[in-house]
Amino acid sequence: MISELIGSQLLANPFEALGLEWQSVLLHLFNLVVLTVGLYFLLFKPVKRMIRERKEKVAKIEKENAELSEEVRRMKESGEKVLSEARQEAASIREAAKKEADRKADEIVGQAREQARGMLEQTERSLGEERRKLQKDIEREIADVSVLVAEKVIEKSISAEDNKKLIIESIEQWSKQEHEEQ
Amino acid sequence: MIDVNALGKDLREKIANVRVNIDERVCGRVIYSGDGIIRISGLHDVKYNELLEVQGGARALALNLETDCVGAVLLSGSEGVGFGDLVYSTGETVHMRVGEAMLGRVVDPLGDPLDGMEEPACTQTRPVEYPAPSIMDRGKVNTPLQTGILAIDSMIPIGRGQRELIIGDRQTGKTAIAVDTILNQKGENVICIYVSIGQKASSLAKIIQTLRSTGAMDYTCVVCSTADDAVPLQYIAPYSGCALAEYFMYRGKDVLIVYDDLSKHAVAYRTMSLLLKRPSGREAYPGDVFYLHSRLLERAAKLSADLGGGSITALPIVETLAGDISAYIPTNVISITDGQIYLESELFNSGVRPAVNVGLSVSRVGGSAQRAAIRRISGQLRVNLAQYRELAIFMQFGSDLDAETQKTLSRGAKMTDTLKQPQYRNYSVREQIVLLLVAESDLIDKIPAKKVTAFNAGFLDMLRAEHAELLEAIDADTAVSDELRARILAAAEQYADAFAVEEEPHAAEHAEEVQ
Amino acid sequence: MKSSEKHVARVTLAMRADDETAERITRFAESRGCTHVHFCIDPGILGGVIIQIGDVIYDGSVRARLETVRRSV
Repeated sequence: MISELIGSQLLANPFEALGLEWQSVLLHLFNLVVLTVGLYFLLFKPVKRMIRERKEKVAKIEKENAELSEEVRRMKESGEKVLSEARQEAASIREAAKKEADRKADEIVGQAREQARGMLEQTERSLGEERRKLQKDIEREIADVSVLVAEKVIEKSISAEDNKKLIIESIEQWSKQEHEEQ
Repeated sequence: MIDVNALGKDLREKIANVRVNIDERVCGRVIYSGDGIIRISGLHDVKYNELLEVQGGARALALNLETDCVGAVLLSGSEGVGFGDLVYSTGETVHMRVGEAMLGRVVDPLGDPLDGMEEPACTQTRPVEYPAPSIMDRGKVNTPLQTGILAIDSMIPIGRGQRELIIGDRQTGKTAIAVDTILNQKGENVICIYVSIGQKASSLAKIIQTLRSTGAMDYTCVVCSTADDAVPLQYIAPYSGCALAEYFMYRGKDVLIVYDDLSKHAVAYRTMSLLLKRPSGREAYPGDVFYLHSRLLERAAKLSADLGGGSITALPIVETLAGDISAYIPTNVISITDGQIYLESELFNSGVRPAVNVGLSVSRVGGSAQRAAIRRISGQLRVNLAQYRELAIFMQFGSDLDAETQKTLSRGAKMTDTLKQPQYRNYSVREQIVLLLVAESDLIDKIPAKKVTAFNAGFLDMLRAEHAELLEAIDADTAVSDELRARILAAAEQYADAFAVEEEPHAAEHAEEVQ
Repeated sequence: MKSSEKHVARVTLAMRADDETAERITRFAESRGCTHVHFCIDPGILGGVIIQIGDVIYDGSVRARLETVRRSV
């Protein structure tokens, strides 16, 4: 019963039922508005600014991040390039060294071959020389022996007649030369 | 094998071709024979330096013409020549066989082969004694003759047609310089003649072996008289070598002739003169010993363009005793030649090889016979080295040195190291230029002392292998451009860095070994 | 050499010469301005004649001929 009474009263005049006057309500409302506006300017603005700054900061960091990663990527790339270049260089150095070594080897082999050829030539030459010398010796020996034989034969067999002929022949030749000279 | 039939046929042919001529000949008789000297009575019409023929085939050289007898020296030993033997005059002087066929041969001073091959196919001969070219026949010495030895080419340049004495004690590398110079003429279109006078047969054989094995024999003729040859042969050896050189010179060729050595030549001449009882002078040498060498060395010349522009460059060698360059023969030859390369045994023993004493060595032809590029770089070299040597002596007192002095000293030591060069390792002109450029730059301070030789060898190897274009770019006849110089130095710097790294582990290893 | 030797011819023969040969030799020597002729015998020359007048020698001996042949072979 009581509850019903209160309910009806509430419905009829809620302010009054609760012991409030509508003016004070209005005043409160006005207060609220003033408070809200004041708070907006005092609190909300700085917070908003803070948030904005935060946002900006985050964006900046993100940008930096992106830049960094870009850099890292670039570095990685260049590293690879350097590496491959180094590899290439190493290969070329190896190639050059190999070429040099080959050249040296060829040179050495060539020299050795040359030397071998030289030695062979030298040997052949000395062999030829030996043969020539032997031949000369034999010839000389033959000549010596023949002259010796001739001497012995002539010694025995030369006649006074032959001798005279020889002498006269020589003298005539010398006299003739004399005339020619004059 | 020997073909006996051919032999007999040969002999028969020869006998058939003999012309028996029983003509009249001027003759005298031997009235004294001994020590290779003969005195001859008769032969009134014989001329000075005439070749005589002694009965039995020996040959002699008439040197003393007196009122009642002729003194002559036997070109072969005195065996087989006895009292009363007939001596015929021949009417000619001693002749040397000359011609292109002499190249590659080893011959005695009369042109007969000693290397076991057939007689050289030469149709021409030249008198061994021949007057030197006159003043009007001569041209200016202005073409360099590269020895391939850095110390010489940079500071004591030799020109074609010059006479440069190599002087020093025994065992100081005199012959080595001459042989290196001959080896360096490969491909330079220079004909080389090596005259050995009274040398040991063993050392001569070694030289010939070297020339053969390096292919230098293709443009070289060796005229040799060894220590056991008759003294007159030693006496005429340089003249016959010179006759051969003249043959080429008058055909417009450039010739290099090495007389190894003239002190033995003087000794041989002294022996002959004393035996011939000529009056002797200082050190028992006869009065005309100066003329003996001056008439020989005057024949080295650069001919004028009208005469073909050939040249004879003479490198006489003189051996001193205990470094005494004021002895008779050294002073004589020094005054005749256009400069000298003075080798010191002290330097040789302390490892400076070639042991050239830069202070006492000069080349009087000087810069006109030097490649322009080298001339430009090496101008300061001599002064720097002299300064270094002065300081080095001062340093022995062990006083404290300021930084500037220390730098001069270390640079000087490194420059001396740069000039060291092993035998048979000749540098080309371009290599010399590179070495000098590096040695003169600040770069040399980077290289540790005592590593300079290794650095230079390695650097040249590197250049040849990887920077052949740099070497190619050097023009020896113009000064090196700043740009090229910078490029060479950059390459050197690069190598120096690598070299330093490379050397360190070696050094560490070495240290361990020592411990 | 003494100046008188210029006028002396030294003749070497292998064996004694007959008068006619001697006469020929003397005449030859005189034609070269000799006043004296010395003969000597040397069987070693085998045959022919060697005449020496002053500095000049005329060698027509068999030995010399053989020697020439031997030397040139």
